Amino acid sequence: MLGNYLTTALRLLWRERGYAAINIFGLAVGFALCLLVVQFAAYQLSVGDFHEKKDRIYRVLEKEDRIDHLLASWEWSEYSMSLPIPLGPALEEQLPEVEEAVRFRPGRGPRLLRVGDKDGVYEKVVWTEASVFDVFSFELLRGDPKTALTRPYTMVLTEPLARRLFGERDPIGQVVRVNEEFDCEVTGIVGQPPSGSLIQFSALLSFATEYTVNRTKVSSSWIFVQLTPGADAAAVAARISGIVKEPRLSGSYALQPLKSIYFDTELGNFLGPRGNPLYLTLGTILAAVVLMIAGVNYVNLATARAGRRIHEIGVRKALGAHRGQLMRQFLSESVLLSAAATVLGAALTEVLSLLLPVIAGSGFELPQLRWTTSTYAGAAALAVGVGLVAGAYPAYVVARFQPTAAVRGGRVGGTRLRQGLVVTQFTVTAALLTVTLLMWHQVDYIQNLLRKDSVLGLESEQVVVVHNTNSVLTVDQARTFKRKLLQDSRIAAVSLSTSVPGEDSRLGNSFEGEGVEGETEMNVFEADGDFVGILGLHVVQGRALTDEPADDRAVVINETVAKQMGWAEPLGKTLSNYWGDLRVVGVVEDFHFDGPRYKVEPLVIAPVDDWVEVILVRAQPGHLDAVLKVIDDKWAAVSPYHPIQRNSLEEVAAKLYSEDLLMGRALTLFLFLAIAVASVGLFGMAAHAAHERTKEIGIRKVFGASPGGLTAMMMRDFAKPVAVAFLLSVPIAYGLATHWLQEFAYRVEIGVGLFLVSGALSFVIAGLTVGHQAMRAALTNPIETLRTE
Amino acid sequence: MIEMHDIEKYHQSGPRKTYVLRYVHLNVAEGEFVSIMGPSGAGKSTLLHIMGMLDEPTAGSYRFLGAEVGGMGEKERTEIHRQHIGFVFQAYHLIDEQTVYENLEMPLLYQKVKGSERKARVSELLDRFQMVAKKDLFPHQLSGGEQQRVGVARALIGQPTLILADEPTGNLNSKQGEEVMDMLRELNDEGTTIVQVTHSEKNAGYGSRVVHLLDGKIEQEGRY
Repeated sequence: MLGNYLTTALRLLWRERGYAAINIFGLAVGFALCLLVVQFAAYQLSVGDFHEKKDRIYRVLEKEDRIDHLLASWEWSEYSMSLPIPLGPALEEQLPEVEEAVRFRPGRGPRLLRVGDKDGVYEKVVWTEASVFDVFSFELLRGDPKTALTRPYTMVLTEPLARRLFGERDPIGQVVRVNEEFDCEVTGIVGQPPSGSLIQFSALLSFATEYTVNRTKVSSSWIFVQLTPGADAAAVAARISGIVKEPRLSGSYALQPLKSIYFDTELGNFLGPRGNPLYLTLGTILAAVVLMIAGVNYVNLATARAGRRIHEIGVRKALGAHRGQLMRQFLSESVLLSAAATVLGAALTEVLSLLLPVIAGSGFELPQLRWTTSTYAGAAALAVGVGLVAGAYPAYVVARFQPTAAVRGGRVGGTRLRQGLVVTQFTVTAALLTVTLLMWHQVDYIQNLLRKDSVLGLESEQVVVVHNTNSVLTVDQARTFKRKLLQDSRIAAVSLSTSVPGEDSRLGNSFEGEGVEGETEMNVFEADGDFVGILGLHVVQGRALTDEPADDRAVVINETVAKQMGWAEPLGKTLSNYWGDLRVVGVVEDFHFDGPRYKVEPLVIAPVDDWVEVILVRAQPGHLDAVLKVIDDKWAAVSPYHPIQRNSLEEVAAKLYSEDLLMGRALTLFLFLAIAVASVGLFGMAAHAAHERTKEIGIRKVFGASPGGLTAMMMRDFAKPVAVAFLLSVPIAYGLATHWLQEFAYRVEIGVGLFLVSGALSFVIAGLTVGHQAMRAALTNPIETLRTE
Repeated sequence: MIEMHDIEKYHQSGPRKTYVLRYVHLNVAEGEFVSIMGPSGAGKSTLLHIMGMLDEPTAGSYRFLGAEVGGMGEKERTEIHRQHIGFVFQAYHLIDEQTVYENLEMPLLYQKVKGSERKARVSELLDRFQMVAKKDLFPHQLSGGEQQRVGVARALIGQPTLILADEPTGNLNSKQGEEVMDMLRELNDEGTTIVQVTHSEKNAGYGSRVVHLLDGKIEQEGRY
């Protein structure tokens, strides 16, 4: 019997290949997105699985005394992961359930590692102790896991890094210069941590090193514990208090399971990859939406087309087919179709995973889809599941036909349902369209905002940002570098600074304003006299700083400082903190140094003190390439061994909104797919309607209808559901858009115009889809269709 | 009213021409009631379609009310349809989704007749064809005879000067058929020109002239 169903189904698919193509295409796109999201999710959920003892590993957190943080912003977590260094060994000694404790210190930014006279490399370094190998399942290829990281100034390199630094030579016992500060002996080689590891590094330095080098500065560490099998984490956490006595500790602790660190958006994972549950949720919802639209296509077309098979069904019923058998036949057809779509969808997934990084831009990596047994099983389940769900309603409608009605030639019901489904499809699509339009509007607004206040503007691509990573150059060396650069006439200006908009190396400090009670937290750029000019900031009062010694105690403030201090005449006022008194010599117009998500905060531009993070170089127009070469050469001269790290101010500033840009692009991709699938479905419905109405159209023509009028009549029928759908989409889109925009302190207004544009687009899309079918039907010669039966 | 001269209609398949109509000369004067007879496939319907401008001849001249149809544009032809020609089909061809009233009103909508006049004309015809009680029913709720009565009424609603009927009684029993033929004769008596295609000698008897078609050619003409 199944064979009979299948041959009938295959012949039917072939006979109605246009409709089959629509369904298969739509479902395939839906499946492809689902597979992508599943693969993305599977990858994200698998991070941490590399650590074999993951179920017994916990991060120790201290519950902070909340009163201390009443003044802090609400975003702060009530937990802290910075713990006193002695707590690690103490946990091991005093709590029998704690088998091992591992302490970590991450390096701030990459460290320069150098061997001999070769140029160094910047690599991620983590400070930790020997127990890391046992607890976190890292495979030590060379060296003794018990002793590799016990002594100060010892390190373990990953295999690829060892090969880069030492080539074919044996690295064990060799010396590596770290950050031009101290030498370390290589005591082991470890396998590269795979992507499933929560801890990523190129080199491990012994914890004792950090303790010895920075004895005065190091006060805390991050601690992970491995518990005995079956130990109760909550009970263990409760007993931590009192083990180490220190007045600033609250005495209340928690143990966070290792696997939950990846998705912890509050504390984050500072040792390796971190996931964003928002993207996962959003991706799942969007993939489900597209799949839903494709499923609706199937339900609609299959139900509508069932009318054409009324004769076949009548005959089958007359020959004794039961309802159940007919339903089974229709279900096996839909599963067959869905299976074909799955195969195509899988192929499409491969194409999409190649395309996605191109569309999303760099920094967006998608793990390769692995075709394992479970992937196959998942795809098969999806095919059968969607086939059954989408096929259920058409099968039910068909099975309900009365054989007499079927032979007489009646019509299939469910018109209302079909209309409802089309409306649902278009509601979702129109809402997605509106939100996407708004997103691009907002991104455009951000770019204009940043351009207007010079963060992005003033030919920012002409400004090179050289990163003085880890303070490779002292302030004096940086000044020398600047002088040497300025000897070249193609370089217009150079400025030294601790930060630049888009870079997170900004400082904060409390100041007391003249005539104002209490201290105010302000952002600080420590920069030399050319900073204001090179960024193109607008000086509204007074002047920019100069490099003259007379300006050592002078500062430039932004308008927000003046406003918050209530100074009508800010020039000459003083700001005081532990540096002493600083005199305001100029005011710059507010600029969005923190991006569009935050209100402009108070900002103080103070003279360079003991640290320079970035060196900004503006090239004369047309000389950028030559200037880049000059910069590279001069950098190599002043700082041997350190490869230069540079990019453009445009790129740095783009970080302020890169996430929004990425989101906009991803949403656009989903939008296009959703529109494609929905349009193809609408096209199918229009073709079906045109077919259903050929006779009516013929009659109307004979009685004087013009092709134009007929086309308009058919399109009007589709305009109604689209109009209803658009109206329904307005509140949905408005809600979503408002929610999203709330993240921005600076945002566009959601105007009527936006909805007018998206409404017009909806109609144009629907009109183009339906128009062709309607026109073709309207132009058909009536004698073709009215030929006597 | 109708002057057809040497009308040909053929389908070209490769080098062969398959003639549907050939050497057709036919004039129909105003007020005539002409029946076209002939076996299946003789080209009767095609001839009627060409007369009604639903189809075009491959060769020959067709003048309608003195104007050459071959040289007309789509718009002009549609105009003549609306003003002069009414169709009656064997399979009634009513619109299933529309009530009797709406089916009758439809041609008037295309002629852009005003609402009040539409109402008056539809009411008048409903009255005349004794369909007032059934005006809100859908076609499938009517008997075949009733459906064809609506079909004839619809052909009349535009007040045409020519009615083309393609086997108007083909799907009806003899009593219903007689009714329809009586209606057509009545219309002819009032001055409407009628051309019908029929298989039935009896129906042909209602008309004033018979044209016999065989293999696309006019075999003979006769008068009643």
